[in-house]
Amino acid sequence: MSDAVGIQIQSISKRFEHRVKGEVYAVREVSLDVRPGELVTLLGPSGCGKTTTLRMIAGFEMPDAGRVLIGERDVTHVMANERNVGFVFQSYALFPHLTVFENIAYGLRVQRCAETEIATRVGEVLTLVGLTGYDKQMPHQLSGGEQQRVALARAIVFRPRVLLFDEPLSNLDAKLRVAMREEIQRLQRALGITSVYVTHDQEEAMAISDRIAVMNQGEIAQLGSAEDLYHRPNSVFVAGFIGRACLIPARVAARRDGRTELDVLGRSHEVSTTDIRFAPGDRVRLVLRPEAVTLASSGNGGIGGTIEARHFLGEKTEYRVSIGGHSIQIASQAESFRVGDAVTVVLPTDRLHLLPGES
Amino acid sequence: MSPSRAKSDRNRATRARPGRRVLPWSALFASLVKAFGANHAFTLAHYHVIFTEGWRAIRDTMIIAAFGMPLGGLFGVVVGYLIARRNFIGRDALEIATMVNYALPGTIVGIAYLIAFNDPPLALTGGALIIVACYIFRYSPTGIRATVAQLQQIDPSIEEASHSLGAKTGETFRRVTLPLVLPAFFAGLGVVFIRSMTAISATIFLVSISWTLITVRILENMTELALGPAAAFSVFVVLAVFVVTALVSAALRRFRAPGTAPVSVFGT
Repeated sequence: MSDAVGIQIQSISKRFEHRVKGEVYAVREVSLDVRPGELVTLLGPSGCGKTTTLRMIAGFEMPDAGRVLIGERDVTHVMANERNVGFVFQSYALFPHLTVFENIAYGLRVQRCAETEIATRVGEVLTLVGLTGYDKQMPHQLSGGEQQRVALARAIVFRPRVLLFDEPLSNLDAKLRVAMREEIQRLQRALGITSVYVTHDQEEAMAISDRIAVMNQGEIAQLGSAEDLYHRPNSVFVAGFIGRACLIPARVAARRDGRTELDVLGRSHEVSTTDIRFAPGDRVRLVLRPEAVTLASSGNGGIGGTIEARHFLGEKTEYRVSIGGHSIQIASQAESFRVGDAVTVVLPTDRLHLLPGES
Repeated sequence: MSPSRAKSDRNRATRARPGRRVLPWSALFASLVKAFGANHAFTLAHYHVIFTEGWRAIRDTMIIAAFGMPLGGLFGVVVGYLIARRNFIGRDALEIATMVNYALPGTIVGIAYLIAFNDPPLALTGGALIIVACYIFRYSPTGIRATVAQLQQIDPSIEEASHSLGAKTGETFRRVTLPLVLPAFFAGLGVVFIRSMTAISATIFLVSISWTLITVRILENMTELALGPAAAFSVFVVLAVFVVTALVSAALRRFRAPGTAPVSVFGT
């Protein structure tokens, strides 16, 4: 879609009255710039403010402070029905008394489109979402996946300027979720429509998004591509929320030529980080991803440890290893280690990320 | 519960309260004999009386019920919608006020209406309007509660979906909310009609020379020991209620939104 518009959220806040806690911020000073045609996901745990942010973009909630712009237009105080925004709900929100055709045609009928145009456009989107021939079905006669496709068709048929998704796949089973997220990504790319997607599922977010905004306690903790967030998390929260991470305390021993020498659990280890935040003597935390660490037999020069638990998962085996009083997760192709075995943990030099240490 | 168990329970209940089955038939019997208890010769004279001398009461009752029924149904849906879906100052007070009208004894409500609407600018006493108003406000709680229950089953995001598709609040109510609460509308409608045909406690203070009701005529006939016409009026009321209830039940089945729980004419 050549006329795709961006979405700008400028320092929006939303407060709610809580019975026990009093006034609480659901969203606090959140700013986000979604580029035209881009799909940005708001990712975070329950109650982090991601849905409230989305609802403020849609116009279902009005911000207490800040502005929302769609394209060049300030829509902060514009009613939801005047924003020209497609919204896909978690619960599908199909009209139960209308057929699939009438559900999809609803937005066009509101716009007073001609019957012939309605029939053509509904037919087109039914084909697009793979539901040709379903037009006379009632919503309750459809499966969850089919209902979500109808909801998607209904949201795109009136050619909205932006598309918003509020956890659209959470009511589907795991297999269907994967199929539907690919479907959503294909449609979004084909239409080139600017989209904001809300989910608490980090795998879903990583698979579908151009960029991800990780939210925590009403604020954006980090914004970036899936690779950025995974390999270069800026906080313990993001490191723990995106994928699995073990944090090992360390101390910077020296820095030279873009390499940093660390003291990790009493052993010297050199990593190739260019992070200039840390100076010699600083306490840091090493972010260890389970698949980045190698497990070897005892006496191979790494950090000595003991296998605490072993889970064979088919394509890999996961071990919980105790090193220097810390437990770390390691995903390994090696299946031969058993609980209680003395092993060596070999840290990589190039896939380690550092975070500030505990003060 | 198995069908045989249910049947046996029903039989036990009937044995315990024989009047439950006998009374309607005794009214029919009394309406078709010259003098119940004395002369059991067949006659249609009592029906002749109610459709000639008593015709005005039948006409007035039907007119009042016909006006009260749709207005009461609509009032129930609108108030139910406001209570279930809208946030405004005085919402709880509105909910309580509608219930109080129903909870108070009819005689108190009747006297209250008489006093409240006796003087200008709302001097309604003696007219049909005060009886219609009394029925609507007194018997709409069933429709209100049915609407609230119906709306509580419907995800509010359905209405948000309508807004996001460009529909304003009024259009959303007309195209989405109203069709989904039609069963509640018909439930409220049915109750207002039934009560319009059978109520007496409040309205006995509101009838006048210009407007009277079948129930008031039944009471008058009983006071005058005219058992035959009273029984004939009663049979007419039973038949009218039966027919309208059947029609409303058919409408409830026809308009029940897919995926929503059934609503009875007698409430949820």
